[in-house]
Amino acid sequence: MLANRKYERSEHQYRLTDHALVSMDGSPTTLVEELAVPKPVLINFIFTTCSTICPVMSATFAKVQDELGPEASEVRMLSFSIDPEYDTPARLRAYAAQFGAGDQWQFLTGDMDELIAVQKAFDVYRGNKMNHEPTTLMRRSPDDPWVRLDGIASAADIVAEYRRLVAR
Amino acid sequence: MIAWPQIVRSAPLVLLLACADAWASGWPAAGEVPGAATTAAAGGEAAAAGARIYHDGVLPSGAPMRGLVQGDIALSGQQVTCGWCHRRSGLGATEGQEVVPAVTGDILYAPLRTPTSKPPLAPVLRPPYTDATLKRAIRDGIGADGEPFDPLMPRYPLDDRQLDLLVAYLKTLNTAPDPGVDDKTIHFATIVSDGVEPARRKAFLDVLEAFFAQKNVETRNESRRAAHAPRHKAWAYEPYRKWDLHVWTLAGAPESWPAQLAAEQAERPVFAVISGLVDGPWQPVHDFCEAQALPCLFPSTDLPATAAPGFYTVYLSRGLGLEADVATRHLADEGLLDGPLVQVYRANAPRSQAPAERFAAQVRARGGDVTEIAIPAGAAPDADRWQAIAGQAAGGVLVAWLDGADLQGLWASGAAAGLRRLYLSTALYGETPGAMPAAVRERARLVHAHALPAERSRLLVRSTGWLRAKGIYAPQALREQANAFFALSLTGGALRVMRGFFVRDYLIEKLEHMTENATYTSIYERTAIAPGQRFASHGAYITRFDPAADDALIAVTDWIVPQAD
Repeated sequence: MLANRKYERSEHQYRLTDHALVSMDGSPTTLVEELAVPKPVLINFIFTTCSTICPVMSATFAKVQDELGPEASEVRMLSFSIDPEYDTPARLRAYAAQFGAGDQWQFLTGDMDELIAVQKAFDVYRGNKMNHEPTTLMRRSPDDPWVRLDGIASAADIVAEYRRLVAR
Repeated sequence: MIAWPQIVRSAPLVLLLACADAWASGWPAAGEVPGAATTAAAGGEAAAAGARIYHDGVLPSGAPMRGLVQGDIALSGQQVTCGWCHRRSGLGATEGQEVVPAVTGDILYAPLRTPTSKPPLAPVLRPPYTDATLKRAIRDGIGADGEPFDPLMPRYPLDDRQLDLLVAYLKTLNTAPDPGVDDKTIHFATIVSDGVEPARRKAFLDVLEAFFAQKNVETRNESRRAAHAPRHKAWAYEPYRKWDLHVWTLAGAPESWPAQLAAEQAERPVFAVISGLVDGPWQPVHDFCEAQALPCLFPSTDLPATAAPGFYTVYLSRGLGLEADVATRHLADEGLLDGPLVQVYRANAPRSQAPAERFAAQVRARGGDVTEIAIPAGAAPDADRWQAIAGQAAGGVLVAWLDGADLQGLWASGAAAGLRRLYLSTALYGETPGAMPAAVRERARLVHAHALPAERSRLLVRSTGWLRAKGIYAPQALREQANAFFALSLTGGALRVMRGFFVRDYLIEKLEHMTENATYTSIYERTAIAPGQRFASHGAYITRFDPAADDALIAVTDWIVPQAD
């Protein structure tokens, strides 16, 4: 029953304002800077001590990276920490290593209020990281709408959605 | 994972279902689990090997266990151990709308159904597992009912022998109550030491006593109803217990505390320790609680044990060690680590010495240097002594882990005028300038690891009103009272969602899950923990006294979270 459940797909134009962030190497960055790439962007939200859905979501991103193969370098993958006071750049680097994240896959942290604002901008803020839901977002280019996948989408689902996105 | 009907996706049912696997009525007691007796007699070793698989993901060969996620992504390490999701207790967890069911032997080997107090029994939602179906579930992801599991559950390519070990361990996990609980009463302790000033100690204990009294008044009728619960409500009424408070008072030196605590616990075991207030480091209590597997919840201390986080001790903050980190970080941000940098502390006074040691280590780790001056026990340094100390920091920074009394000589000497910055801690110095000369206030910076005073009445409105109504409000012990109220309300909330599963590990797991939701955060900006996280508040402000606002304490920085956490 649950084994067959599917994710829900929808399209959105999010009104994104800029927010200060910290990249996993410890350097300052911003949301606008991270998204201003002429490439497709894939986003999810995780925290390193999450015991339920994050390991699976991160494993899924790892598999997406593998399935894209050399094409992965044409994509930007961003995982935002929703527990930024605990998820320091050092912890994010260790977490990224655990999932074999390549250079195109960056983890972001920063000030709690800024990360809450980012979650709200993408309508994924649930008030408590323990109420966190599995959502994946993707966009072909800065001029295109966001495609939102709610639910545990498999790597195959995400790759298929990505192919649909870049083909149109 | 049980193939739940689709209703699991409906939000209001999620919390209910989270415990549903754990409510199954009529499950056998631990000793009745098929094979449990043989496990106990001959399989202790097997269960121990299974525990290493479950908790550490380490196979008997020493190789890491792999789990296949999303079909064929092979992961190893902490994130795919059984215990990472099903938790240390085996009682499972929830996140968002996702449910990780309980995997204790007593629950798995019984049919899953809603508990009822009288026949007829409720329908079976999942048949009982057998050794064979349980092994199939772990390896192939097929439930006891033959349905495939949710994709959240990894598949584990274990061989028969490895599965036997894991199954042997699952059979040892059970929902039998831990010590400190009987059919009618749940026992809690709080810990105070005889060195705590009597007025502070009374203000602190007043909160616990009033909270326990009110809790018992409010639930006494629910406890009575349990005896005559409607058939489908037994699970709702039966978990009510009278709360019994035991005050464990420690005397003498901290080295003697573990023996005193052991004697108390032997005489009257408690289920958990709620808050606490001692004059000295929390380390001896921490060690005791970890050794006894006794939850020790949110003590009111500046000196938590930070070297190696435990499982059973949960703190509000890293205390003065955190302040030392924030001071270092701010000095680095301001470019003030190049010197001169001098710190002064009281030797053999843990609340002064501990942050000083941490500060010196942090400064050196950043490549800076600090001149350390220890004041011996006895009288405060006089003006001449302060003149000499401040002279060493002339044109630079003086960090003083001291209270107002020790700084009187500095104010009198006038030597602070030669400093570029003076760093203090509000935990030691206080939140008002006291006798600090106006000229010094400009250059004084205070580390403040709580919400700002201007925010506090809003944060504490819930407890202040309650304390006033009880006639026990003591503003001079504001912090201790607020912290005690926080620990009590969260423990009460956790007990409520635990229902009748009086398992200490489960209490900690529920707190990991709900602390971030607390509507009351004591004197802290934010409080949240998570699996493996044991400090609820992570940062501090750098503040100063603002002459334009009656010398109120105001922030000169944002909330700083140091990286050394």
